[in-house]
Order: sequence, then C-alpha cells, then structure tokens
Amino acid sequence: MNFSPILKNREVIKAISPSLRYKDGEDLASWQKTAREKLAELLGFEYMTKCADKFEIVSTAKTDSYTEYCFKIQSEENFCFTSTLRVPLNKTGKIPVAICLKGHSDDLSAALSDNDELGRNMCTRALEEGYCAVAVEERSFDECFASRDMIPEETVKRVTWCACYRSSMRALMLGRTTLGERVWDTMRVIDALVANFDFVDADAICLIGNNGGATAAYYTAALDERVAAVALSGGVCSFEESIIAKHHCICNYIPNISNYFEMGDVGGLIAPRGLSILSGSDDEWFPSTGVRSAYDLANSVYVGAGFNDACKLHIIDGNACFFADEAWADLHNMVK
Amino acid sequence: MVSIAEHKNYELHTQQVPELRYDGKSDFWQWQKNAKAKLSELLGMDKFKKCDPCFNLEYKKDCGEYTEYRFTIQSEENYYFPMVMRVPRGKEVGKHAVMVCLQGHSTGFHISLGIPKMDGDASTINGGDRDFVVRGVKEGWISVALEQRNFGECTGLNRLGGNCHLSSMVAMLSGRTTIGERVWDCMRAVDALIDNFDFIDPEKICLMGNSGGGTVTYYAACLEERFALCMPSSAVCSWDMSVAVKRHCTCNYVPGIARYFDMGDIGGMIAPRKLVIVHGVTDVGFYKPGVDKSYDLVSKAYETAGCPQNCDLVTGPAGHRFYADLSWPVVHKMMGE
Repeated sequence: MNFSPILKNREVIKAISPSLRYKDGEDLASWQKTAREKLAELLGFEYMTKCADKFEIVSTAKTDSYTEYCFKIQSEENFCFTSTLRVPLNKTGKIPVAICLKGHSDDLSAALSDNDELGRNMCTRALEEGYCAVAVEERSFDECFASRDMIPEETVKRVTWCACYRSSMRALMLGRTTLGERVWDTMRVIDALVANFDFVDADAICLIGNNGGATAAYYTAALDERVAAVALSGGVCSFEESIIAKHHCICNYIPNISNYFEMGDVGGLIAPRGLSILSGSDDEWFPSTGVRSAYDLANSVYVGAGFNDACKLHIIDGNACFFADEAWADLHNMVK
Repeated sequence: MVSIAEHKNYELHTQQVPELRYDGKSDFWQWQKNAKAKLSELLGMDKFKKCDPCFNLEYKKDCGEYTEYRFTIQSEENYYFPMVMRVPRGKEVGKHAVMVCLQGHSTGFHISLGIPKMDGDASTINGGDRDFVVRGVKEGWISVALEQRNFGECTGLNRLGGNCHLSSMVAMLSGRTTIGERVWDCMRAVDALIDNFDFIDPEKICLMGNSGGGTVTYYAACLEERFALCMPSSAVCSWDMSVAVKRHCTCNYVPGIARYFDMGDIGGMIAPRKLVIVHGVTDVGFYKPGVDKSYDLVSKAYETAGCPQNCDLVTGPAGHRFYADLSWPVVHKMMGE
C-alpha cells in the first residue's frame, strides 16, 4: 500500500502524454503557433500588460574596454528594474548583443565581474567575444528581491533559497508565475535595446543563461522570435529528473505545464534558431541524463523540420557552472 | 515605483477584485453552483478518479470509555491513508453524529488522538486543544482522526512529520493541488464511514480542523455536501492578511484562486449548511482584520441564503490554536447533539 503523496504525484505525471508534443510530420509553424499560445497562457501572460517603458539612463561609465550604460525600464505598470549594458569600445556599426541571465545568486556582481569560479562572469566574456553584454536584474534576485536593510541577517545568509518564495506564491495565486514575469521582463529589455541603442544589431540578440537564468532564457527564446540564439548552462533538464525528482526553488514550477509539455518539448519552439544546451556531468540539480533527455526531445523537432545543426548538446566533465568556451563556440556558429 | 518583485505581487493582490464575488443581487443559488464549479476546477478536482476503496479494518479494540477502530482506505488508485475512529460507549447502537478531525502542520494525526510520538508532541497536544478526537469523545461524539497527505504516516518519508513542499509543487505541474488532494480524501472518508459503519448518521457527518486542517475543512465543506457542519479553526482569513502577506506552507496555495475568490467569498458555498469559524485574536499567521472581513462576507452570504443562524465566529483570546471550550457549545447548539 502506498501512503506517499509524492510517489503518487510522480506516478500521475509519468502517466501523462503531453498533449502539445510535436508530432512527426506536423507543420512546424502551425504547431509552434498553437504551442506558444498555450505556453504564454501557462506562464500567466494574460495577466501582464505592456505599458509605457519610462526608459531612463541612470548612469554611464567608461573604462579601457567598454562603455557602460545602466538603464531602468518599466515592464509593467508600477514595476521597474535596472539592466547594465556594456558596449565594447573597439566596435563600429551594428553590434550583436548577449543578454545575460545569471540565475539564483546573491547579486548582479557575479555577471559583471572579471572572474567568477562558476563562470557567471558572462558579461565580461561576452565583451571579449565582441558582443555587447547586458546584465538584467531578474525578479526576486538582486535588487528586485528586497532592499538589503529589510532583511534580517539570518535571512541574508539564506537569500539564494528564500528569495523567490513569497513573490512566487503570490504570483501563483494570481494566475501568474515568476518564470513568466522574468520572461516578460527579458522581452521588455529587448524592446528597450532595439528602441534606444541604434548600435544594437536587432538580428543578433542572444540570450545566455546559467541555472535559473538558463530556465528563464529558454522560455524567453521559446516565446520571443527576436532571440537569434540561446546558450544555456544548467536549467534545461527533463522535469522528471530535476524538479519532480528533488526539491527545487519554487520559481521553477509552472502550474499545469506537464499536461502540455515536458521541458524538451519547449525547446522545439526555439527552432530553427540556435539552441546550445550545456551541462556539467556531475550537476546534481540538473542531472546529465535528464539534460540529454530534454535535448533529444528538442532536437527531434529541429531535425524533423530539417534543421540538423541548430540544436547542440555539451555534457562537460565536472560540476555545474557556466561553460563559456562551449557556449561561445556555438553562438558564433549560430549567429552570422 | 516598485522595483521589488514581491511588493509588486502584493500590490496586485490588494488591487484584485475577485471575479466570482457574489454581487448581492443575482440568484444566490445559481452563483453558488457556478462558484463551486470554478472552485472545483481550481483545486484540480477533475484530476481525481474514484476507485475501489479497499477498506481494511486493521483493528477494533475496547478501550473502556470508547471503542477504537483503525482502518485504511484507497482514495485514488495506488494511494492509501489511515483513519482512527473512537466511538463512545453506547454509540455503536442507533445512528449518531460524527466529527472528522484534521490536524494542521504537525507530526501527524496521532496528535488528534492525544498520543505523543515525537519530541515536542506533548506540548503540541497540551498547548492548543489539538487533541481533537480526545475532546470529541468527551463531548459524546464519535470522532475520527484522518491522516492528511504530506503529514504523519503519509509524509512520504521514512519518518513521521510533515513535508509538503515537493509533493505540493509536483502536484501543481499536473494541474492538481495538495488542498484538492486532501479534500478528495475527506470525501472518500465520508464514503467509508457511511459504507462500513451503520451507527454513523449520514445526515450528521461533521468536519473540523486547525490551521492547515482548518483550510482543508473549509474547502472540503464547499464541495462535499454531506458535511452537515464544518468548523475551520485558524484558517479563514483574507489573502492579504495571511498567505499573501507572509510565508506559509506551499500546500496553502491554489494557482489562480485570488482571481476569483478571497477566503470570505468561498464560505458562501457552504450555505445553508452550518459553519463555525474559529480564530485567535493574536494569531500572527492569520491576522484578525483579515478574519473579520472574511467573516463579514460569509455572514452576508448566509443572510442572503436565509439562514444567518447557521454561521458563527468564535473568537479565542490567544493565538494560533483551537479553542475547544468556546467552540464545542456552538456545535452542540447548531447540531442539536
């Protein structure tokens, strides 16, 4: 006799055949349209409305290698956040852009730093690769979590765990999701880049993401066709082997999604644009077997639609981190 | 201008006017029918299927003042839970009222039975009238403890205790909710009591619970019309003064519910059946102003339904706990038992 609710819930999900899985031979554009509408609904987009962006440059700075713009935008009525754009000094004309989503961490400095042991210095590397780099304050992280002086010291120590909880649960009750909010904000960042910086190559906007940032980048690329390519480290793994198997942050869970998609199915919405999936072989949160399973599903859509080289997988020896070398090798191939 | 995500979402809560709030003018019973359909959908009730209950009586033993039965049932294919029922001496003849008792977040339903099993259980039992079955038997009622999902023997771990997070979030992925699961189990418990114990009066099956158990009590009574009376304690409170303002267990959260209902709107679905809401004035998880405004909505609904005498608010002088001395007289009066 089974007295375990989690075992029962896992059994329930295992028995589900996602109803919007791409079928061999199905018209890709038609499937993507239907699937995107459902994904947007599941993410809670019907409860988010575009508004005046109130774009404002908060500060600028210049170093030997880049010009920096810190700008603020309003993504929903009465919600704003900052992003930091760094533009390489040695480039002219239209410049490709990498929007960097670093995921769960204490603050934005990891993405903007020169070095990070987990490879999260994504902006610095993007500049080295000849791209503009944008670090985004994601909802419930960094300054969008809470003012530091509001948090008790013992909570600060746990910040990467508790940062998302209250906001995510409030969102859920309203039919929204934290992931949907982050996707929405990233799309508004793209709006702002295209509208306000004429050196931005609107045909070469990429997303790079680590961990929770990879998850947000993945869903953004699925919904926003302006994303030319995406490189994701951690975060893209079957639900079965990640968020169903063990305790993950609340922000990863989208109500009802398993009835329509497994993680890999969502990747098919990115086709034919570039999708680079990276994973550490010893990643305990997003195990490589689950990453491969998600890749296989996504790639089946790419290959079925005739795009044999646009979806890549790298399983690299070691723990989870952002694997910049492999990511950038793929991005340079995918974005011409 | 807000730049903190949780503040933005709290602002949205305060601005939200529930779409299915009763407007005071339209046909109340039609509203109730529509509201129940929506609540059922939000809780994921369409995801459950009845199955063979596989009723299994583990034991029946004479404990002097009462007879104790322990049994298990299967509420869904491959999910079982236990119940313990205590029948006061003399109540195995004729037809009698029964109180089904739901613990909140504690180490398990043994608390309702007054049996400490883990460190801290004794103070839990003694410190808030949480031995619901013990008290129910003293009040002369047949009383049943039901082990809810993610608590006690149904925690999914090889130990007693409560652990809702993973099961609750995984449930959500498939469109289910933990509250829905617990409501479903309550409904199957009613089936089991009626089908297997002929001394149970099916017209007098009642449900009570504290905290997380109070939450389930409230929702279950909306959807299960065989509950003649429900008594949710330390649970009925507006979102902005409870689950939306501070951190509560994952199991409390129903996706999308705030679009359609606040907690006070939900109570209208229980009318005309009896509803006794219990709370403590200094409860810091469910603040008094939120309880008061929820009860205001509930009492207006009962008035519209023509039965204002069938709902009541019991206010205890302290915090988050059950108040047996204040509450049971109300139950006796309403049920005539």
